Amino acid sequence: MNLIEDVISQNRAEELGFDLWEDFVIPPFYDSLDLITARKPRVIVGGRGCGKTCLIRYLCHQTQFSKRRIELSNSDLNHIGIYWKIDTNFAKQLSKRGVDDLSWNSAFIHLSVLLMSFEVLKSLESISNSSLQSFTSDDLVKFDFSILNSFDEKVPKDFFELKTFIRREINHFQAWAGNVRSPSIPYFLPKEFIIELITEIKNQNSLFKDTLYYVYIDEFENLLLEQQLLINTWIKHSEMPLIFNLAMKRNSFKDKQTIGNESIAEIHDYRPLDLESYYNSISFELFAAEILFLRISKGDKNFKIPINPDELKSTSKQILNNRKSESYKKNVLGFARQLFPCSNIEEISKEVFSDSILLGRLKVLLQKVFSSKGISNKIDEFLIYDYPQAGVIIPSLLSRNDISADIVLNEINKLRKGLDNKFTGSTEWIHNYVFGCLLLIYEPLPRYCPLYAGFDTFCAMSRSNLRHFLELCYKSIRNEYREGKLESIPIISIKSQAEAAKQASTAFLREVKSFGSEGNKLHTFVLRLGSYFSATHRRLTQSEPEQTHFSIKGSIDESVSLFILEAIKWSVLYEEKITKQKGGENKMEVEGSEYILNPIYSPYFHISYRKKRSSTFDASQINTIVLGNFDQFEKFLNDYLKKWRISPPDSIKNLFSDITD
Amino acid sequence: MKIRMQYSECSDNLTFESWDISFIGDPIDDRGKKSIEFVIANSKDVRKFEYNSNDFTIILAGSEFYKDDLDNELHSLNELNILIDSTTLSFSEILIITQSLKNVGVNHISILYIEPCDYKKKHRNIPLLNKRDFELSESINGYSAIPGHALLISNEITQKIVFLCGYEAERIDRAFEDSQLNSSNCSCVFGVPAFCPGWEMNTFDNNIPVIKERKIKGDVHFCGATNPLAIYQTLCNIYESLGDDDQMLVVPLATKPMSIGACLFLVEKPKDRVAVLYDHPKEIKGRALKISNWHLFNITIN
Repeated sequence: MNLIEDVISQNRAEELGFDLWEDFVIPPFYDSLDLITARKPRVIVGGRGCGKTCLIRYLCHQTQFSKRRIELSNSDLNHIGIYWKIDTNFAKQLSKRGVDDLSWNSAFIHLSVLLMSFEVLKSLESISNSSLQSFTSDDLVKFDFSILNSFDEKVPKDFFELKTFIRREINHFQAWAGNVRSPSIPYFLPKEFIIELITEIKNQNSLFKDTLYYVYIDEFENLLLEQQLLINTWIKHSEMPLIFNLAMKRNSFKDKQTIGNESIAEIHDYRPLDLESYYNSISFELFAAEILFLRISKGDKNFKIPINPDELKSTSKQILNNRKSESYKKNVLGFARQLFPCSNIEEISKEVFSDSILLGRLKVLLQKVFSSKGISNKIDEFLIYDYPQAGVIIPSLLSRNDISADIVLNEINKLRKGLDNKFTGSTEWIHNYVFGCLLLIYEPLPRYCPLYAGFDTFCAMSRSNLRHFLELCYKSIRNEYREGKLESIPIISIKSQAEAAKQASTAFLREVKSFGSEGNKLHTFVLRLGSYFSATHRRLTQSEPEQTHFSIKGSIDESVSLFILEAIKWSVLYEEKITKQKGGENKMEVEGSEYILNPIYSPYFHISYRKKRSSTFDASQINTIVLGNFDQFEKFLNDYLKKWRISPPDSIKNLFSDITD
Repeated sequence: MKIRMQYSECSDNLTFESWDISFIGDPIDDRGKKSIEFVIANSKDVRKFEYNSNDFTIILAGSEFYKDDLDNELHSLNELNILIDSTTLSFSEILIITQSLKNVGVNHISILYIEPCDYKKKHRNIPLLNKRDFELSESINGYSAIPGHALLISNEITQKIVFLCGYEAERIDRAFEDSQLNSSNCSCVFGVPAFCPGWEMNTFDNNIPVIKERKIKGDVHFCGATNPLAIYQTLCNIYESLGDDDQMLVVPLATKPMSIGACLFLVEKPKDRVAVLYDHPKEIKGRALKISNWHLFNITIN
């Protein structure tokens, strides 16, 4: 793996470590998040891979006081962030086991206080090692934490001894948690310990007099309910100098109770930040391209990029506004589209007529419809070489009951004469069917499908998932290197991109099994839904082309409803509300939801990644897809295949198809 | 630790003396039923054991109590001849029983295991399914500590993670999802030779994509899939290579004999240095097809 491949392949926050100074791109909407000066907790919500962890790691001391950050001022000490992803594997054992709930609460607080206090001390070390001249390692030894021994007389006053003490206490706690019947019970420290620690830091060094500590708790949803309630309580009572913030997946903030009688309320106690909705408000494509070019420039300093890496790290309003300007956007997206080009529909359609295998496939489809509808014309009459986009949709038009061969020939004639016609006119035959028909032509062929290539296609397949986007780019570049075509990377071929789309899609589909306790069921669900959509795409009539989402008619079982929420939580499905205008121009009412299969799975199933037409399932059908056994689902699918007159997939499979997919 | 291993195509050829007490689980397939028949025929007292990882409770011979109180329940067994039926018990149950027996002073135990002839594959009539998908787990609870065998995942010290790889590679993926594991400190162990020639390909084919995706960069080891001693020794070798403050986490996702070797390792080593990451899958009934070789492991714990 060369350097460019290596830097682009690192698409998880975890792989980048804690110091993201050189890797993080300030999102263009950063100023509207108000993260640095906020006094109220933030709850950051978003699907997998949308950048939650990166954002909060960027806010934490390892990045903010990174050795690689050149410009730092004393005012940067006003916000010190602590990243905390609780080890839920370990934390799960801190409940039940014959120990009362109150003791477990104290135990969990104790562990939290130890871990957070340790991070507070580490943050001082980060600052002392940073470019900030006003605070050095000599200042660390000047701290006197003797006040803390009022909690436990064993607490030492010296900075480094305090660090060692905390580590020992963590070890002691681990030993006790493994054997709660042991008489060696730790002395549980209260939350006030960390408040006192921060207060001492503020009091003893004037540089920190305005400092607030912000704890960012990642993957809050994985904690036990009792532990969540405890943290809710801290959110409710977040106040200077310690403010708690959460990051979690969608649909995860289920219980907003505290351990008292109160519950926490949006706006009053915290402000929610839905990262994906911010992406929708700006250009996701632009942000994705900026991240990509930053990564490429890290791997190849000579690569000509349309961005200034230093500006991507800047939170200056002026620079952020520049990044939102049309000219900047046009330039960056232009570069991205040049690097990851796509074939347009006209070019892809032309290729059908110039490539003997594709043309053969078109003829097979025509033959099929000729024999099923008893059409006696010559096939050549329907091979429209001069209007390839019209040519590729002919088999589907002919297979429709309401369109005869004569009507089609008549419209072809009008098209050729430049008269108003149904192909390009208001009936929009080409617009409606060409994408689906091209997919249909490529469907059984063991070759890449160019419809899945292109920078904009990659963005559409990723939706707001940056990890998916980077993986598509990484695999494309890797394919190009493997083909031996690449010295540097001026242009990635359509073939490398389209193959990468299939490879990434397959890998992400495999990953679904690891999505929480319902992972296996979610994986089966994606396979079933994908198989169903794949079948709809194979209908020769293409009467409802490009079905990739569904809505549900009637009321459904609670278990199905919970499962769908789980699928949304893991971004297997995206939910969009259906709104209808009722009683006046501005009165929109929500009339249910549409559920979109994550488009990253579309290349695997050879279906469209665009949101076009919907399928409607009744309660019993969705029940079968979600909960039915294999026989029930097979019957459901076979009934449709029979109704649509589709034979089981006629893919050209070889001995290794299943393995290489 | 000494392990005396014997195997045969049928139980008649195994050499053993009958046992005073045997621990069994719930049979979910034919081999489970066979092993329980064998245990009942050769034990004076058979006790059904069940561990609930959500509640940390144990049901032993119908009586329910917390895992933390198991030593009290077993303290009278230290002089007895004991058999554990690993065919019907899960990894966590075998670990908990073995640890508790060691705690109360039991030095010799026997462990029985019956291999399957094959595992049930995923339904093949629906297109677009992976050829090497097996139907093994109904649901997977998620990584959750087994008290006494858990350590905090930490960035402050080096923690070596050792994955014992099985068919369900997504369980490795989940370990990374749930915990902050450092992929450069991860190693993999594969069961080679497998139960049957060719089965190792299922493990390789399913795991290699995950190993690549997760950029696992540590060493790769191979141990016989039916040989608990080999995996025990491999884990001991890895343990010996750790630095003074380093810790080691074992993730047992492979065959039962490999899990037994891991249990013996975990039981023997200090609890502040080694721990386990386990996700408590609920196995599908009837997942294994027919029965193959019988294994009896006689173990002396130091």
